[in-house]
Parts: sequence; C-alpha cells; structure tokens
Amino acid sequence: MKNKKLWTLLLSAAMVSTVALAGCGSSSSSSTSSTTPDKVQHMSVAIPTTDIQTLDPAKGTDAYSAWVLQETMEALGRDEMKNGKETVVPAGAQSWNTSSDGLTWTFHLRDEKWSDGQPVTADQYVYALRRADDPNIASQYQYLISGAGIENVDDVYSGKMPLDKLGVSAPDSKTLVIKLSHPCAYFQKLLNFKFFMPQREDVINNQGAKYGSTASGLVFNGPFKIVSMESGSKIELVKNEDYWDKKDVKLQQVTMNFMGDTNEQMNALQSGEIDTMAVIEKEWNDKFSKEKNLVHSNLASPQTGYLTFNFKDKNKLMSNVNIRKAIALSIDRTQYLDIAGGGIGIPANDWIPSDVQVGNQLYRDEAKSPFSQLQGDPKKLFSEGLKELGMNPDTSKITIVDTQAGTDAVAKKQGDLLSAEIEKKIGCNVKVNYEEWKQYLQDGSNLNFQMESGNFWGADYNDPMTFMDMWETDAAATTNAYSDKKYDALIDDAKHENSQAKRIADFEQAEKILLVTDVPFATTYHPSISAFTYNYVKDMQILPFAPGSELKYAYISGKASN
Amino acid sequence: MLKFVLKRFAYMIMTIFIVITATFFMMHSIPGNPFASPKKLPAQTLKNLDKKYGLDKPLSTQYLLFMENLVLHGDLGESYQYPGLTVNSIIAQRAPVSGELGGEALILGFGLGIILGIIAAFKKNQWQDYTVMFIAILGIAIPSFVLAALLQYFFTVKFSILPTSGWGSFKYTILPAFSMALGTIAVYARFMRSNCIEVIGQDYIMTAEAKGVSKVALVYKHVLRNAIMPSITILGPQIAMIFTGTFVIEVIFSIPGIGRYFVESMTDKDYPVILGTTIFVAILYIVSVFVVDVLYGFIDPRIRLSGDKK
Amino acid sequence: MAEISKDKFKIIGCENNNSDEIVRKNITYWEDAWRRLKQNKIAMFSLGLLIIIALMSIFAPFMRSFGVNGVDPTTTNISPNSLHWFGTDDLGRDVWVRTWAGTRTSIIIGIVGALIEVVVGALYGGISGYVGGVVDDILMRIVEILNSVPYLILVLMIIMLMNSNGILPLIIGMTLTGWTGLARMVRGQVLSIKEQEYVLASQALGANSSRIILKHLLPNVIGIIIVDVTLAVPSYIFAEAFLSYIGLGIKTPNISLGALCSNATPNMMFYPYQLFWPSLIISLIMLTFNLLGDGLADALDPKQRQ
Repeated sequence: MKNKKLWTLLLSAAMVSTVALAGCGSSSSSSTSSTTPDKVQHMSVAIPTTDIQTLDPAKGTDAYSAWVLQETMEALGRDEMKNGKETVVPAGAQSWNTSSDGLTWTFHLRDEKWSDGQPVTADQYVYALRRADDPNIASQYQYLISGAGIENVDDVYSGKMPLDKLGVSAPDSKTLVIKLSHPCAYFQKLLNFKFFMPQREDVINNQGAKYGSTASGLVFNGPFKIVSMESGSKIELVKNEDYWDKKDVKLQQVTMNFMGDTNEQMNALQSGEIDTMAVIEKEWNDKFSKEKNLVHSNLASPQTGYLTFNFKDKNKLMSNVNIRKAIALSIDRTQYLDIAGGGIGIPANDWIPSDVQVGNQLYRDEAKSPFSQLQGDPKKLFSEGLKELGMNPDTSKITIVDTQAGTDAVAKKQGDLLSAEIEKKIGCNVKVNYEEWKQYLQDGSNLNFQMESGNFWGADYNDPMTFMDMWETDAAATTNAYSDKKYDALIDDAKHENSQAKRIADFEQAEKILLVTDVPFATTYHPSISAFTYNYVKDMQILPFAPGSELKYAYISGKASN
Repeated sequence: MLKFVLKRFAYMIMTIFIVITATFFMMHSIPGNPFASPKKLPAQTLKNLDKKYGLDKPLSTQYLLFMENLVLHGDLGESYQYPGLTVNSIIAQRAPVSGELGGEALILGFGLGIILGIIAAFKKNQWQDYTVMFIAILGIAIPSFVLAALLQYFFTVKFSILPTSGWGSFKYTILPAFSMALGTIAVYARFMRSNCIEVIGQDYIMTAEAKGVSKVALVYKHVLRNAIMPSITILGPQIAMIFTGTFVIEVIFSIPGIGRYFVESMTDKDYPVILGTTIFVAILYIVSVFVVDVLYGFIDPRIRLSGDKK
Repeated sequence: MAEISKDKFKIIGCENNNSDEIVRKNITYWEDAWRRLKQNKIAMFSLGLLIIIALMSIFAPFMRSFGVNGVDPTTTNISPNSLHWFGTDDLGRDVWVRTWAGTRTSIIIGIVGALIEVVVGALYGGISGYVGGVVDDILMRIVEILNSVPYLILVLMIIMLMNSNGILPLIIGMTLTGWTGLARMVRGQVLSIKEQEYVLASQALGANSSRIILKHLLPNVIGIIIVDVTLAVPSYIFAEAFLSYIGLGIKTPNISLGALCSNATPNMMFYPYQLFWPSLIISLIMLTFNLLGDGLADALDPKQRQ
C-alpha cells in the first residue's frame, strides 16, 4: 500500500546505490571503480511514488521532485561523498568567500551553458531566489532561507517589501552576492538545495501556468536532461552534452520508473527491471542479502522517529514531566525498531542522528548523547506524576489516547506495538486513534491530541540546527506548545554564533534539556537506508542528506555477463 | 419520442448540477487542511498558500468562482498537490488508462461470459456445463483483490511470465483485466445460460430443429438473438462504469488510472482533483445511463410507451 | 354389448360441498417454497455451511486462549502449527482467533447493512408504489439522482466526512445508495399487484388500506425482500473489504475479514497463509450466500409454484 509518511519519503529519497567509493558491500564481489565501462550505459531506477509533484524548484515539497532536479540541474553546490565524508562541493559556483563578519557571501560562478546553448548567468540565480521568496508563489520551503537569514527574507515573503529588496544581487554575470542579516554557520550546507539552482525567466514565462507539470520546453544545466516524462509511468533522461562536467558523466541514458507500491519495487528489483532499490521490510532484506549479484549498502539516515506530548493536554496528564518521562522510559526501542521498522535502523537513544555534521566534524563524535541520564521506573514515575496532579496514583485507572499517523498496515503495527509496550510497563490503558496523514497533521497543528506517534523528523540540511529549532517556543507552538526559556536562549545563541565549538556546547546543553530534563517528546528509532544494487553498477553514491541517489558518476560495467 | 428524450435530458442536467454542488460542499467539510505538512509551516506560508488558492474567501464565493470556471471555461482548476498540473490534464492523462483497462475487462467478461453461457446451455448437465458453472462460482465467490494477489503471485513471482505491475504495453493489462473480468464472466455466463435454456425450451426452437435448420444457424438466428436481450440490459450501465476504474485493482497493480488518483487525492485533501474527478466520473456515468435509456427507447417500444405510466 | 343391470350400481349420495375438496393436502405458499428449497441440494448445502460458519464465528475464538489483539513480539509470523492453528501475524497475534473474530464482525456488518437497506428500500418502494401519482414521481426522481452518483464516491465522502473510528459511518456510507435497487423492485411489484382484480375486489368489498397492504401486498413482496437480503449481505461484506484496502474500512482494534486480507496482502510473498485463511472464509461466505439466494429466488418464485 502506499506509504506517504515522512520517513518513507526521505528514506527512499536516499534510495538507491552502493557507496562504491568506500567499497562497501556484504559478502559479494568487491566493486572497484577501475573496471571497463560497458558499451551500453543505460541505468534503470525506481521513484517510489506515483508521480513527482512538480519540476518547479520553487514549489513542491516532496523529495522525489528534488531528486529529479538534482540530476538535471546544477545548484551552487552539489552534495557528494569526498574522502568518505558527505560534503557540499562547489558546482555551479567555482568558489566562494565570506566576509569576516560572515554576513556577505560572494560566489564566483563557473562558465556554464544551458542545454539550449544559452550561458548560465548570475541574474538567473537572483531570479530563482526571488521566486522562492515570492508571496504569490507561496513556496513551502521558504522557512529554509528564512532560517538562513537572507536579508529581508521574511518581509519580502509577507509582502511588506518588494522582491528586489531580497538580499541577493548580481554585480556582474559571473558573480553572485548574498547578504545575510545574521551569520549562518551552516549556510554552506544549504547550497545544493533547489532554491540555489539558476532559473530561466524566459522559459518560465513561456511555460505559463503549467510550468513544472511537463518536461517539454524546459532547459537543463545538470548532468542529465529530460527527454520525456510520462505521468505515473516513467521519466527518460539522457546525458547532457552541454554540462560543464560532462567528462565525469559516463551514463548515456537513465530511466526513472514510477513505482508507488512496495511489492512492485521489490519484484522489479528481483527481476532486474530496475538496477537498485532501498528496502524497508525485513523479509525482503533477508531475501536480497542472500542474492549473490546484489550488493548491500547499509547507511544511517538522518531521521528520528518520535512521539509528541501535548503540553496543553485537556486531561492535564501530559503537562506533567514525570508522566512524560515514564512514557519515554517505557518504550522498548529495540523491539519497536525490530517489529515496526523491520529491524532496519538504530534504536534512538539520542535525538540528533549519528551522521549529522557540525562544520566538518560529526556532531555525535563531539557530543555524547545525554539519554542515559534519564533513569527511573516507568510505573513509579507515572504514579508520582499522577500524585502531583492531584489524581489517584493507581495507573490502571488511567487511559491514554495516542493518535497514530496513518491507517495502513504499517501504521497499525506501530500503534498496536506502542500501546502494548506502554500498557505493559506502566499498567495504564492505551487507546490508539488511527488517523489519515493529513488529518493527523491537522490535529497536530491544532493541538487536538494527547499524545502523537508515528512521526519522523528528517534533516533538511547537514547541521544539528535542523533538529533543534523546531522546539523553540515560537516553532513548537503548533507542535505541542512546549516552551522553555533556557532552551530558547541556547538555540538563539547557536543561530547567531559562527564558532562551531561554541555551537556544539549550546547544542549539547539543549539536547540534555530535551531528552533528560523536560522530555517534550520521546524518541523511537533512527531508520537506516538498506539498499541493494546489482554488482554491475559502479560508482553510484547514496547520500543520506541528498534526495535519491547521485547518478552523476555512476556507470555500468560487466552487465552483459550477468 | 422527442418528449421522452427531452424529459430524460432535463433530468440528466438537473442530476449533474445537484451532484456537483453536493460534492463541492461535502468536500470542503471534510476535516483536514490540504497544506498540512509535517514541517510545521510558519503562519505566513499558510497565509500565502490560502491566498493563492482562494481558500481565504468565504465558501459560497469559492463555489460561485468554481461554477463560473466550470461552466464558462470547462476548467476544473489546478491541483494543490501537483502545482502547475490542471485537473483537466490529469483526467486527460489518466482516464484513457482506466478506460482501456475497464474496456478490456468488460469485453473479456462479456464476451467470454456469453460464450461460456451458451456452451453451458447447450451442453446442459454435461461436463462442459459443470466446468462453466464452476468457473462462475469462483467468479462470484472470490473477491477481486484476492484474485489479483493470487494471479500476481503465480504469474509474476513463481513464474516470471508477466510484469508485476505498472502500465505500458499490452502485457501489463492482462493480469489486472482478468482480475476484474472473472466476476463479470460469472454473471454473464450464468445469466446467458439460464436465458438460453429458457429460449431453447420454447416451441419455436423445436419447430426450427424439426424443420432441419443447422445447429449453427439455430444458435445464431434463434437462440442468441432472443437470449441476449436481457444481458444487454445489464451491459448498458456497466459500460458507464468503465471509467470509474476499480481503484483497488489499480492500486494493487500500480496502474496510473483515474480510480487510484481519486483515492490518492482524497487522502491528500487535494480539493480540486477530488472535485474534478468526481464530476468527471459522475457526468460520464449519468450521460451513459441517459444514452442507454434513449437507445432502449428506440429498440423496445414498450419502454417508450409505458414510460409515463411506470 | 352386454346388458349391465341397474342393480349393479348403488347410489351413495351426492354432497355439493365435496366438489370443492381438493384431493391433495392444502399447502400454503411458504410450505411450498420450503419444500422446493429443500429439494435444491446446492442451496441446502450452502445453508448448512453458512450455519457452520456463523457458529464458528461465535464459538471458535474461545477454542484458543489467545486474545484478538494479543500482541506478542516474540511469536511473530509463525506458520500454522499445533499451537497456532492458522499461524500468527506480524505482531504475534493468533490468526485463528482473529479470522473468526473478523468473520463475526463482517457478518454483522453484512446483516445490519442488508437489514437497513431492506427496511428503507421496502418502505420507500412500497409507499411510492401504493400511493402513486405525484408522490411516486418525486420519490422515483430522487432515487434516480441517488443512483446517478457513483456509489464509491459517495461512500468515500461520507466516511471521510464523519471521520470517526466506529462502524456507524461505514454502514451509513455503504447503505446510502444500496437500497434504491430494492425500492425499485418493491415499487414495481406493488404497482403490478395494485392493478390485480382481487385487490379491486377487496376494495369493493370495503377492505381498508392496512388490510390490503397486510393481506395482499406484503406477502407478495416478502419473497423479493428475502432474496434481496440474502444477496445484499455478501455485497456489504465485500464492500467493507474493498474499503479496507484503501484504509477506510473497520479501524483497529476492531477487525474484519476485509481488514485482515488487506493487511496480509503485502506479506503475501513471505507469509501466504496470513492471506489464505481470511480469503477462504470470505470467499465461502460470498459463495454460500449467493447460492442460497439463488435457491431462495427459485423457491419463492410464485410462477414456479406447484
């Protein structure tokens, strides 16, 4: 059945591909990158949905559109594996430098051409960023550049200022200048985002209202260009001979098939109809692990599953910290991961996942998780909480209502399992309320729940801030009405701080408040990407922080003999 | 005759209008915001989105705007979920797919059903009869989704003869069409069989046989044409159903048809698509029923004449 | 020719009332129908099977000690064995218990849905046919409009609109357009009976409306109603199963055969038994109801009365 939940989105967003450079693989053949490419360089992959939302970089919220754009367009930067680390490397911009106060970013653009021969110029980047901030376009990702702090970004978006007041300018055709109103320590990590892709005003005007819904008439500046796009069926890509780095692109043709059904994807991988796929079910995982010509890649994905507690709970229960602690302690994360997550992941004994970087270092290397400091017997803590609220401390008299996202089989597994675990450890009753995704989100925003489960938070960019600014008082207002002044101060500081060391210290304290002191939510597990790729595919990169997989360097070698 | 047609036409228009209006208001009463996103959108974004799609206007104004667009321009609006994609283009892309699948299933079901029914009637109480009846029983009993799952398992997993899912050349249509058709085969086979048996028992058949008419001519000229009328009666509305698309089959086989799209748009709360698809399907259905009614009026004078009395 | 003498014959008398005597015992319509049904082996077999299934759905869950929602992470996905007769599902729950509990719910849904459909449809059609005239016209136009809306769309909207987790919105959605077929049939039947001479005679003799309805119309209509009920039950069970596939059917902790099937389909490749048992039961139910309905239709058909 279709699964529109966030975690599947991002999970299968970083779908396909072996981390061939790291030579990662299970027992099968070691795939080296110095093998001779085949004559036929045609790769087939699956997009795990029925359709992409739009090809307009300023619109669309799904990771699949972002993936297609990533392969056909070139932003200022590109997310790649360099020396075993995921980095945003210069792409559309050859280089950049920042002013000493960190407020002015100057990008020196590469000599690039569009697929119709026109040159890529700086004003096209300006145009693109203005579109992203245009109130008439109402882009749903505007909060990214808002958080980055581009000058006047929010005033322009609310209509108070005209578009040309946005802090982006093109002093000449090869230079782009972006002005920030406060330093943004992770700005570099944003540069591969689709807002930073150049856009052609003439093409967009030509397309009119239907822009983004069809591929015909569009121009591209990335490794591949779209030849045809059949809604619900597939997208055909060919190598873009006008691409500035075409010498590194070895694939001649890529077919991206729309496959919204898990069984369909699995069967397609098994029959070889597609060359690679991410697996989310244990049984398929086990099955494919035994296949000799499939290479297995297991990578941590920067996502965390969590339960939210409503501070404005009508029954007052969730407003008590001991009750929240009790529930957080009663979850058997390993079991939950095993059954509800197919065992594909890591139990979340932290909030910020392990592959998140702060600057060039891995955050988790610098700051150990404070989670083990949360101690106590769930049942006792719960009773204490009840006593503090002036209620009968007998836990068996209480019924908690959990709102679970989704009504399909996977959601039922999660909800049923969770309620069973809590009931066992605490002794209270748990009633699960299954809601359709949109309904669930709506109730969440309206604070119409007691406890919410089934949600996953995924990273928008490679910095801890993407996991932390959501719990600030303003942001959390529509999440669960959580508010802590100390926490706000720490995050505010991290926002304006340029020194990574200081930021790490801020985040460390902040994470402790979240996981040990206040417990406004409880974590479940971090999903992993478990992908299987045929051994004739070389040099494809799975990038947890980028959508889909990177096909730019991939090539086929040894397929004929398969 | 003309009075009959006009009367039916008037009813058709009225029905369509009621359906559109009811759907519009029902749809906007369904709880859930189409722009709800897990990345808690800041208030300004939501405001901008509402403004862009006209959701900040009162409901009645939205309704009038919608009707105006629909009646004057035939424009069903733009999807929320897929910006830039108009509902009209979605329907234009998806409806033919459902139509092709539904049509194939219907032809298969009707054709095979009729043939099997005739065979069973002529070979009554012999092994051919029992075989056909057995098939018919399977068709009634087994839900289409179970059948679909079984077929998928055998023909794509155990023996990789056919593609699991998706849509493309003819081979993609075989399993889904058959899953849908078995039930139809069952209905028509049984119906045809009993009608044929009834006709065969008539005196004029005996007369024809006695006169020495050949078996083939017997079947074709006498039995078939008389027995098939009631089956055509059921066929009419079923043709109308082709486009509604059996969404479960479309979901199981990942077919980009309109039924599946409709279900997705309901969970996405994509109002324009929900509205547009509903209207499209409803209109198609109502018009087909109208056409069938008028045709019957031509074919069977009794219906025309008794139209007022009944 | 030989002479036959008169004294070989004796007059035994002639009673006029004897001339009306029918040699065979007088059978009512119902007894005749039952008799004919009994002769229909297939229908009787179906009836028997149905009764068995119904009884199983009530008592079978108690044969095992597992709960319907007894989640047990240690016993997931076990194939059928002597402890778990139908195996376990992916949360460790016993499939035997769940299948029969689901059967119970499905049958209830089927029966309730069919009953609502029948009551509403028969009343509506009966009134429309009996009263006739303008009322009939209006009522029938409403039916036509309702019929024009693709059933599925209406159901989906109602369910999403009412948005509760219970069985009620489900049943309302499903029955909202289901009764129109029966209404039409009942109306047709009432219309044709109304014109019969014996009704005219009754009226001439001074019978009031309720007597006509009860003694003449109702008995002739009940046959249709019974057949309709029998065929409506499986269609509601099936409809609920269909809706479960899009996630709009019965919600947890309630379970139905349809929900069991739709949960098990993704696992079909690895644990086919999870799909097999609920599918088998649902197919049997559909089958038996249909065959029984066919048999009843034959048995209750007044034209075939002997």
